Amino acid sequence: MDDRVEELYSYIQSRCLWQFFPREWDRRANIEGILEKAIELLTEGECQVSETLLDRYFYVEAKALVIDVKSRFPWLNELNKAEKRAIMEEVKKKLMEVMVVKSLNPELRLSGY
Amino acid sequence: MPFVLFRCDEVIPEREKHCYVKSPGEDIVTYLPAANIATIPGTLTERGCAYCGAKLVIGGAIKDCIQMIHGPVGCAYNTWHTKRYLSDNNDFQLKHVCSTDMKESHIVFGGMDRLKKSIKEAFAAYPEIKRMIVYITCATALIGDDIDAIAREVEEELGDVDIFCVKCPGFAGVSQSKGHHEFNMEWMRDKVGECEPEIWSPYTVNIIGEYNIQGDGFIMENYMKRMGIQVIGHFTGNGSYDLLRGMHRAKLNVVICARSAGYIANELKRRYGIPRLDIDPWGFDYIAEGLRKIGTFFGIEDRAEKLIAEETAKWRPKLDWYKERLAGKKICIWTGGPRLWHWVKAFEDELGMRVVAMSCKFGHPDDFEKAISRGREGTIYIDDGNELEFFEVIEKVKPDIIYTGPRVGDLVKKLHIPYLDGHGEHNGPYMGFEGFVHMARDMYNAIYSKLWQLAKEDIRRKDNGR
Amino acid sequence: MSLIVEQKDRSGVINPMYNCQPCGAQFVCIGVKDCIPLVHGGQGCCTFVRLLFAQHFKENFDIASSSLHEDAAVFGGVKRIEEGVEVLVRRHPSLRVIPIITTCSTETIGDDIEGTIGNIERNFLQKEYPEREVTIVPIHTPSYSGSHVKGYDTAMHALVSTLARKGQPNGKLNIITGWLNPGDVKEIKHILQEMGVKSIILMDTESFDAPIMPDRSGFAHGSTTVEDIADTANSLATIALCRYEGGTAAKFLEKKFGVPAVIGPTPIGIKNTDTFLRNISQLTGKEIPDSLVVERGRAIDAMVDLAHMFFADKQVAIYGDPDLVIGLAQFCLECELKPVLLLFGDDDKSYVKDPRLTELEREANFDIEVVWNADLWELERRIKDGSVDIDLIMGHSKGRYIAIDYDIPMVRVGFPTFDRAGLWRHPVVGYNGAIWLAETIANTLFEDMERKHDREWILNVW
Repeated sequence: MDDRVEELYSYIQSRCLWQFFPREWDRRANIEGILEKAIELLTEGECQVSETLLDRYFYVEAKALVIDVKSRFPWLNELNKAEKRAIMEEVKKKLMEVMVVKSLNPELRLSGY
Repeated sequence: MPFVLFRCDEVIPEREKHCYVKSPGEDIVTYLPAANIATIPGTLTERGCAYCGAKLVIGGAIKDCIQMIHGPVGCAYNTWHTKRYLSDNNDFQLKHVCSTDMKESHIVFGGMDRLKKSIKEAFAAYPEIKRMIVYITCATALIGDDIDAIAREVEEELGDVDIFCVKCPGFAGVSQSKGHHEFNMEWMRDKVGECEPEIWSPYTVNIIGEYNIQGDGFIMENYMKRMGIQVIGHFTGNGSYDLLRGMHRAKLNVVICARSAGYIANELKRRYGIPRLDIDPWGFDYIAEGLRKIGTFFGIEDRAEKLIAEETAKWRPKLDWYKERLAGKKICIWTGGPRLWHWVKAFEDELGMRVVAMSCKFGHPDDFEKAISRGREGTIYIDDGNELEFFEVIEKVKPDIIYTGPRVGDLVKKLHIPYLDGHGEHNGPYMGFEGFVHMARDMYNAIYSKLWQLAKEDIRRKDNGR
Repeated sequence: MSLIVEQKDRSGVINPMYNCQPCGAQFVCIGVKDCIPLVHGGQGCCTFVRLLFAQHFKENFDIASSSLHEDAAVFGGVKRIEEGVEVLVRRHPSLRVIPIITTCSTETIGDDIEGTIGNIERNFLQKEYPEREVTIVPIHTPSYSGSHVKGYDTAMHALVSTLARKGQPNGKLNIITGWLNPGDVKEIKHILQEMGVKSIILMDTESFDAPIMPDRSGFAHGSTTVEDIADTANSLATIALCRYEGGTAAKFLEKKFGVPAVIGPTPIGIKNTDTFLRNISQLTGKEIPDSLVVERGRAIDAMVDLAHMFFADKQVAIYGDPDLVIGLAQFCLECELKPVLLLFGDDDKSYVKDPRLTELEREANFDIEVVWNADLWELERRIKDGSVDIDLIMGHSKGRYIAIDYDIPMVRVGFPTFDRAGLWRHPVVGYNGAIWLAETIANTLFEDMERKHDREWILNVW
């Protein structure tokens, strides 16, 4: 599982701009919001989208991500729901760790934009 | 081998933390080059000043306002005719620039009267233009001229004009990046929300951080139009002053240059709840992804797919021809900041090239997070790179081509290395499907030019010096 | 007829014609070999001037910045000079001259440049590099005074007054070129060679035309050495080709070292070149050789072919550096063009009192309007409102949109000429410069005739 987490994490790291938003709170919000929706899409095939524009935005990023990883990593399609969720939770944890907790970017913690 | 100290930097070891070579197993939490900190004097930096970040990069691209630079004449002169941003307003923004032409007496007694007169004269010279941006510069900031007060007085007196003041002297911050920041934040604070744009589509966006270099923005605007999407604020290429005052009415912010204009997108999100969608507009794969996301956002994926299919059919064969010939070529990207990470994967994944060194002038740590995440191992990453370092990099990586500015390009041509204008986009536009084909074409033309072979030959020697 | 002298009646500038002082100083300094100037100010003051030079020459020139930031506005910026000089000296072993070029910000702050230089010499150079001779030259060029013209003059004076040393007479002639192109320098050197005169050229920019060499060694640089500048004190005389760009340095050499100074005329056109040759002859005792008489004859021949047929009565507007504008106006009169509008771009009143203008007034059979402290709007406005009727514009590329938008033929001349290829390679001075000017003007008018179908059939046979 570690290898697979790494594979997905590496891909996201090299592809997705939403994880690099400039401040800690943006990164947390995006990683949480987008990965949550992505897990739902992966496991249920669809997800709840509220009327807010921001929620819609998370859905947009999640949908693009899911289509992308499903075609790039065929093994993902063979997993059951629980496995998918578990792997994606790990990916989320790793992203949060790299992009927020351990980030060496000193500007992440500035108070304004 | 994380950070590297170039030979030329042995006498300034502080440079080591700005120069990084990615090794196997390393990621952005192992090493991250220092960025957006002050330049060491005398290093022959490529950086400009904060004023130029505000004027030359952002404000100067707005098509329907007068540029008034409050300072000695050089600040206006030197930020004029140095950009290729077009507009559909007969390129007014390229043709005209105003200065208060500050002289010694104004430095001693203050320049506010002169500013007021200059503003009124400029409005009189261009009676059809009712908008203006006034920029403070080093000298006028030091003497404490209150440009806001003058702007309000003139607005009051003339009645039908609107003036935006940018208070960002050249010595502020460490590079032009500070000027981007100031312009963004001041525009958000002073101007956004002042105008109510006419809305003709349920799908509205702002395009943010796109400067219509060689018509890049026209391509993006065309894509939006074909999808039935209304662009309200184009910040700032081909941008209209009043429409940019109505940016708060868009449903989505499509961000291209996150470095120079991410700030205003963040503020629009914070204040108005408008989401920020960052896209990469260079490369087929990336632009298609960006268009799909915009389509998904508005529930018009079908329109996005149709557009992508049309464009791909038209341009894919051309790109493939170039790809075959560019595969394996080594390239350096030495530009401002974001183009490092925007371009690296597009060059590598879509053209099969190898990006061997990247240097940025005014990037921040997040630009390096992106560049290093996307870049390969063994590649050199430099913040605020300078000429002597470039020579060593060239010696080490032996690139086939370099994307950089014209002046550095004039330097590397002597080393038999072709350059392409990474800021002005050689023979652009470069965005979108056709743009990426232009980019590939420019690289092909430069790399395969017979002149480089001839340049290497020494006719004094029987073997031509090979 | 009369010379109508006016000045812009606006406070501000719309579309500037001139740059600020530090730009002129930087141009002088890049002409010196083993020299990297340090511009003491914000980074833009150097980065954008470097870009401007690159736009014009398609070459890179090394100019450093002290990278002034906010803290300096409060505490002064001398620390940045010290650091900058140290870095330059340490990283560039062949460096011999570091001019410190001030700007508006550092002059307003009031940094003590001379004192700082003394400190650097004592505390750094003498201690760490006693074996190296690096001269630091203060150049005060507040951007809010004069323009690049004065900046050029100031920098030339600063370099000469700092470096010139009395020694043995060298039998050479000093030539201070003013802001001319490498093509002009080449032409001046050619004339001196034909005359058999040894010279010191300030600054020798011919090597700005840098080749791409098989061994990758060709880089653009200036060629006037520290020794050359030092030796100017020992020359026979100085000729400053441009009164306002280099005249002060020539006068300094005269006053301080008794080297006679001849200021101008700028050798543009036949008569001015004649005067230049006679001055050289008089100062050096050398005869004017037949070869130059032949060149002169060729130039007159080229001008005769064009003058009454195509140039006569054509009204010309000229803008740019003062000596260039005046020289071009004189040239125009020689070949029947009518320089009806001359524009100078800063507030130096001495331009309009130049004796060459009085001479123009005497010779012209039409009115000449001279605008000082002008900007490019002064030209555009007159064309727009029809108060002048211009057949040809002569000036640098910053005025290109006037020519484009009002569809007036334009000959790019001076600096910068970034919208035409390689113009800096060609001279406007000397007899060869006269040929280039006449033929470039003619070809520009011819292209315009063809494009507008304006009697283009004349060109079938003339």
